[in-house]
Amino acid sequence: MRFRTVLFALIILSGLAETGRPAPERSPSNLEQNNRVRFKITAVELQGAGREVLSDSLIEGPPGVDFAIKLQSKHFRMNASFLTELTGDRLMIRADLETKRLLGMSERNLPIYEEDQQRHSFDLTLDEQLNILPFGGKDDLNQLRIEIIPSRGESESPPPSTKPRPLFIKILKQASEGLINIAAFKRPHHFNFEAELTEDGHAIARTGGALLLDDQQEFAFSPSEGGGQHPGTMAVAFRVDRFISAREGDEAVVGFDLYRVGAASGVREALASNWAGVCRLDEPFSYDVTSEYGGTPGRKYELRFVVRLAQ
Amino acid sequence: MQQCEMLEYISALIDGELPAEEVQRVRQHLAECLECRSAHEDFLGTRQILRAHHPVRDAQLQQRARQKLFAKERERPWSQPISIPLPVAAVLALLFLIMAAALVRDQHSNFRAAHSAIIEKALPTSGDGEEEKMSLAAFDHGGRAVVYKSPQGEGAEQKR
Repeated sequence: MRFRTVLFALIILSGLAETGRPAPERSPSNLEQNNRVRFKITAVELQGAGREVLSDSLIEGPPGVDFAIKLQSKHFRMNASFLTELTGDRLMIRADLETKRLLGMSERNLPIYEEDQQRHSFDLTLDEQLNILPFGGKDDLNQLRIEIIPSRGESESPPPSTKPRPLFIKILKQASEGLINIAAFKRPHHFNFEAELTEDGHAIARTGGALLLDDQQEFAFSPSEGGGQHPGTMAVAFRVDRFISAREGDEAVVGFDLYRVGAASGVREALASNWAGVCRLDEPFSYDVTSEYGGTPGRKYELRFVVRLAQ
Repeated sequence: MQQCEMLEYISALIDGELPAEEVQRVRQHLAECLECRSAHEDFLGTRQILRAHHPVRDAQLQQRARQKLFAKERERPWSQPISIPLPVAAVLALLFLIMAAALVRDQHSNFRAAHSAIIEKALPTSGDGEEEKMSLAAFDHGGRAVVYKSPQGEGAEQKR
């Protein structure tokens, strides 16, 4: 094989390798680097005055890192998910707990479960911690406690040209029982919502505002200028259940209820309950509410909305 | 077929390299031997052709020929053939492709990490996991899960 041929092949292959190299990314902002947050998650067995660490893990990531803790055995399952927001020295944590406990078997030999769902919001300083007692019993002698201890992330600054450090999980102590499963996420938390009620394509009422992921928010409609017939007092309770990052365009799983609120009585009449869909961000999405709204006969009424990522 | 033993004298006769007595003897032999006479005529014919040829004297052509013949060869290194066995070349190409694929995968994972990072780690089970997990039952007194906040380090000083 001639040297010229080999040289040509190497140049082509180097080009191929170059195309596979990660594109230069923007350097992380100082805010992001300084606001990295760390959560130490420790499962301890408390027995009287004694305390034994069963497992110990560390999560660190950029501001807004979320995480989930799963606990599962033959008779008990707990899914605890945590959405976090670090603002200055205050840490907002929204905790969603789902537990499922096998109580026994029915006469027909079917399993009987006890299920529970809880949502709590906490405002922590960085010298406080969150504790979960999966089985309750705060005063019991024998307890399993999961401690979540927040702190600032690593303080050393990477070179300005390097890409943002990804989040990570480090297992400091492994529990031999396979007791605990930890996941960490980085996902958008804040969205903007705009909605309008249209009559034959013309907006007759508008509303909108900020939304937090998986947090239902109620928005009251206001009549739009030149909107014609007053729509009455309408409200929509809207939520973004999930954010989906897709190559073709980001999407959001959304759900909403539509109400008419009595002007005098204040009685809420549900026009649509638990409606849901998957919408593409920044693009209008419509629902035909003609039969639910009951406006002027022969006219078409739609609920149109747009969901955007908040800046 | 046996050749005539006098054939070797024919060339010497034409070149004038034989003594006078030998010349006489060879010429007599030529008159008698058909084979030697034929060879003699061939030699003479060849010499006549060579003498009749007039070479073209092109100075530039000669110069180029001289340069090619005597000048030190100065070929560029990339124009020289090197010997790389085909399997080695194939392995090199494969290595480059693997590197390129690894970089592409790295880029993809970085993209995912930057936009919607999700990582998960489970502590490994040992032996029969289900049996081991049954140890959780020791904590279950039927109570409802509780979440609460407290100052950091609460109860941490108690070590067993």
